[in-house]
Formats: sequence, structure tokens, C-alpha cells
Amino acid sequence: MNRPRVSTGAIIKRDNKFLLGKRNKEPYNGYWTFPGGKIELDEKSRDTIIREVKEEFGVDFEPTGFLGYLDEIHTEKGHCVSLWFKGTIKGELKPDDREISEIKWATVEEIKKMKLAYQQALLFENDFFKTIFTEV
Amino acid sequence: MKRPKISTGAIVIKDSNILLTKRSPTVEYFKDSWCLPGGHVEHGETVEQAIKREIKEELGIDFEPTEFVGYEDEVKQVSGHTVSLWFKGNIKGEFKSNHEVSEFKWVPIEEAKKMTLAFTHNNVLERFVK
Repeated sequence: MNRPRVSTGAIIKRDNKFLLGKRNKEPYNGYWTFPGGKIELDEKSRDTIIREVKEEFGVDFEPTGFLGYLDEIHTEKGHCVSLWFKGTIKGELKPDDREISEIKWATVEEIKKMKLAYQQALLFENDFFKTIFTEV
Repeated sequence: MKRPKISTGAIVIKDSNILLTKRSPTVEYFKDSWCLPGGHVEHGETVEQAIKREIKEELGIDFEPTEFVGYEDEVKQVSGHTVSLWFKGNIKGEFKSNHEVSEFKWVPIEEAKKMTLAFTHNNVLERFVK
């Protein structure tokens, strides 16, 4: 049986809106996603999320805290455990269209109505993320 | 392709002593070394289910997580790259150890920090046990 994969995600908040990208590749082509990606061999989680935000969105990500993890057991890629960071970005958003076709700053209410990649919808049901999604 | 593994561990403290387990002489890495209890997350289980299962298997006791304390990047290890997720919590029941673990003991926290523990568990103690 396949071992679970380990990935990272970023929750980037500005004026009570959160940064998302529309995936332009499989799996979950056309679904919205928070920035992130899988941890490579011998890479530290923080370095992964900095690298992924840069690759996908073209900006420098500065993690300001670790929020928690998410059990994403039933995804198209199988079982995945994701580590989530909050932080800020610097620079002009320039998404790589091989990965992300469109970006959007969305409120929690808007995000809940969007089709989210993997099992990211579970972020809104998990206590680790309650504060960042509710505080104004 | 090789990719990181995910594991989980428990920090159990009673009267200023911390629970350590001794790895058996038959495991692949860190034979006979002391470490914090825990193990790999298996396909299809949540991380919390994994830590409860591991403690039950290793020690025969029930573990109830009370707090998730953080993660540890265990990179460039002989046992392979592992990301571990750590819980504090309480135990219930009588100890009954198995083949994976040959012994367990309660060690004063300061003494445990001076031991050479398996994996990067010294680092875990420094970070999460004040």
C-alpha cells in the first residue's frame, strides 16, 4: 500500500481576503487551490512552502507562523497530510500559467462556494484554522 | 521515487518524568536506542488515529492526545527523510510491551535531554518540552 504523501500549504491573508489560484494542470485542473505543494526529499517544510509560492505565484513568501496540519485521506493523489503556514508576500503576483491560470483574493464566504482542490474544503472544519478564517 | 515519510510521536509527562521507549534489537535503525513513543502514519488513517494505534501497539496502553504541539523536519537521516507530528497527552491502562519496543521507562525531563535519543528526538525535547 502507498504511504501517505506530505505536502505544505500557505494561507495568505490581506484585507480579510485570501490568496487562491486556479489550477491549470492535473489533478484538479480548473479547481481553486491555496498556494502549496509537496515536500521534496530532504527539504524542510518551510523551504518547501517558500519555493512553491515562488514557483506558482512568482512572489516571495515569508512564513510568520505554523497553523497546523490537515488529514487529506481521500484525494485523487491518494492519502496526503498537509502542513499549513500563514505568512505574507512581497513583490508583484506573476502566476506561472503552466500551474495557475488565474488568481483571486477571496473572502471565506466566497471560498466556501468555490470548487477547492484536494480536500482543502476541510480547512474550514478544522480547529487549527478557525482563528485565521474568523478574525477580522 | 523516494519521498518523505510521515510519522507521529507522543510526549507523555507524569510528575516531571517523561515516557521513553527502548527500540528493540531487531528493528532496522537505532537498535536498542531510547526514543519517544510513536511511529508511521499508515494509509487511510488520521494522524490522531496513528498515534493512538502506535502507543497501543508498542505499550498496550491507551493514549489520549490533549494538544498538538508542532512538527519536526527530520531531514538527512539514516532512516530516511521523515516529517513527524507531535502530541502531548495522557495515558490510561497497564503497560504491556511488544516486539517493536523492548522496554519503557519514566525519566526526569532534564535527564532525558542529556541522553542520546534515536531519530531527532533530542531536538523534539528541546523544542517542545520546557
